[in-house]
Amino acid sequence: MTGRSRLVRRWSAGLAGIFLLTAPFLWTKVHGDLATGNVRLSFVPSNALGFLSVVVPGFAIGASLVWMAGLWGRLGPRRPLVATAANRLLERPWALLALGAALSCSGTLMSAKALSLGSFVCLYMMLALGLNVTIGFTGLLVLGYAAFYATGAYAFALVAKFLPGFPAWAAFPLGFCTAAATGFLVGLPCLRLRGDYLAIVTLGFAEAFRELVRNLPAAGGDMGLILPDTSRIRGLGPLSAAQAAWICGVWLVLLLSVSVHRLRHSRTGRAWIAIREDETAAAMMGIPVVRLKLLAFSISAGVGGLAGAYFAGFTGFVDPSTSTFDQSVLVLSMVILGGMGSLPGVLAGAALLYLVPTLLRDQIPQIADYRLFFFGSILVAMMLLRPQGLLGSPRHKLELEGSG
Amino acid sequence: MLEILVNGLARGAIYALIALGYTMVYGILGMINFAHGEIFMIGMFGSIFALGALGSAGLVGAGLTLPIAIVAAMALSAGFGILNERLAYRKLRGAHLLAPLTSAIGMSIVLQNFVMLSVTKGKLDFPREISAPLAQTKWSVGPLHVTALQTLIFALTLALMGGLFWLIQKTRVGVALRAVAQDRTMASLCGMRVDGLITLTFALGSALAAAAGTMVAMYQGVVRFDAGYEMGLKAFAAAVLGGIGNIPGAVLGGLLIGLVEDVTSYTIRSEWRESTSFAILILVLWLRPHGLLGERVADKV
Repeated sequence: MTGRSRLVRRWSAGLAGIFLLTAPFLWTKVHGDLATGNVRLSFVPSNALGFLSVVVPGFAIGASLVWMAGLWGRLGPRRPLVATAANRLLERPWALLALGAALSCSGTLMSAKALSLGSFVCLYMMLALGLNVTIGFTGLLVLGYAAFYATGAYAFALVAKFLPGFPAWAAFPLGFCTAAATGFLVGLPCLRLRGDYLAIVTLGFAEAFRELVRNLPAAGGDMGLILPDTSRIRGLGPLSAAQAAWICGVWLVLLLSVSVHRLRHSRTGRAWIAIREDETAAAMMGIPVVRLKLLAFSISAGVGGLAGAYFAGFTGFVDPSTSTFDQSVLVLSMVILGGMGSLPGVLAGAALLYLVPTLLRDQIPQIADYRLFFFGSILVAMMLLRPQGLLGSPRHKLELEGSG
Repeated sequence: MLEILVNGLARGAIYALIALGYTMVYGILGMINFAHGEIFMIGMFGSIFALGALGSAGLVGAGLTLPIAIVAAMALSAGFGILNERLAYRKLRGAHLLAPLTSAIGMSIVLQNFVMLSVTKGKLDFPREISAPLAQTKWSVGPLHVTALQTLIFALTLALMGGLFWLIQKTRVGVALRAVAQDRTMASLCGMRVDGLITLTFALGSALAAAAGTMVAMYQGVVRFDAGYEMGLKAFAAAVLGGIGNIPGAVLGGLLIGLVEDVTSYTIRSEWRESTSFAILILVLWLRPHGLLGERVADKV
């Protein structure tokens, strides 16, 4: 048999299998009869057509994006343009200050809607930068990252509730420290073990945290907490509150980018990469593996907490929905799509995955329901087709694919 | 008090069935199957689809309805288990641990949302015609009250576990499975079809989860697309408690978690029942990471 016909046969067998397995879900509808408690199954094609009409174009767009990224890698310049440009920028303080100033000034020209979108992009960029420290640098999967984001937000809201007039600028270090301490405590039992335990323990922690704040009267239960006006990010002089939030977000993202970049190239960062590449070998070379993994995880959690404090500061409220699995999956998909371990990658991933669903929400109303389905598909498809992410380095690709 | 014991054991038997799937996959691949909770949820829906199909054909009421539904649910879940292995694990077997973990969590999100989008966002009722007689029939032996449904859970769990032990301990396939779990390269050099055996492991674990799913669907009367998330976390805690990779350990862990949950919800507060298994998981990882029956294994280079 030739290779091509074998490939065709395998693909058609796979597709037929998927069709058969999904058929009861897609093509039928269950009718319950309340009086007798009986159920019946009937054939309803409209259900499947509605589903496929969203999923097929979505997959086609995603596949062409991956294909174009691959084409650019083969045909484009040898040196990775984006990564080089980002590295140069991050190592020149004057260029960074100029960029920050330019973005801040552009805030005066932006509409209220653009400012709010921009502030949320900054928020997700911070979260993606933070998660990247554990996933991208140390190679550990965290599934409940939103819990640390919520920790920071709740820490700020609770302190502001009992200490009226607590200023927003002081909330950033507060959010960082509480979340980092929480991360330290959560990571302590499981970081001595293999990487997969951290994933599931953080997943459980996010759930437990949400239950905790819902049942705690001081945290406002399901309603959440509203911050007093004196603690929110306020306007200053000619600047409105929205402009101040945008400027604050821009500078925080720049500050975090530089810090993460410098950490990555420090002695600690190189040790993280060594742990990611081969934990046993790293331990043999004398790297204190557990201590460094804990450090990475705490820093990651801390950055999440800082982002949470920023969120509470500019929206003025927190509620238990900040710590849902959906939020964690959103940030995880941003890091995986853009390219774990690559700073421009995760920043681009954050902007893309926040802006596309938000801007399309008015045109395609179903997108709110299909969001998570597509995020899950991104995780599977990127691992199979382009594990280094859209902007990741070929070195990371080799490492993730392993020797087989 | 005895009632708590019976309830807890019934709950624990279900956790044990699901935990077996986690532990088998971990035993053979050394990886956690993140989508296992979703496979369980698909089993719940599968039983309703089967009953619905039988209902449309006018076959409800015969004594074989429930067994057919259970077998159909097991087959459907086994199919999804194989699909999960093919898509999320097979190509990434030699890769960095992060890659299969990420794809498996992606798979779990995809399956959960696929069911939400294609079936319903709300709940689906399990046909009361089947479950109500089982839940209402009660047998009393002295102070002990057992419903027919609980008896069915115990009987089915015992039968399935017995079958699994027989398969693993007494048959040639079982020997091959244990060989692959011990040393994959060596097993393949000895002529075993490693890929097929790994697929079989996923299929078996998924089928057990589907049987558990049918039982839970009858117990609760409704099924939801997000039912697998919580159940998966609890069953995982059970597998870790017993010692992940160890089959008797998973059974022991499941029964223990079920008992502890019921006792806490009766003695402390029922709201904390959900957090009990998580607390147990943390404690086990802290104090005895290899579980009650597991062995301490060193990392190999």
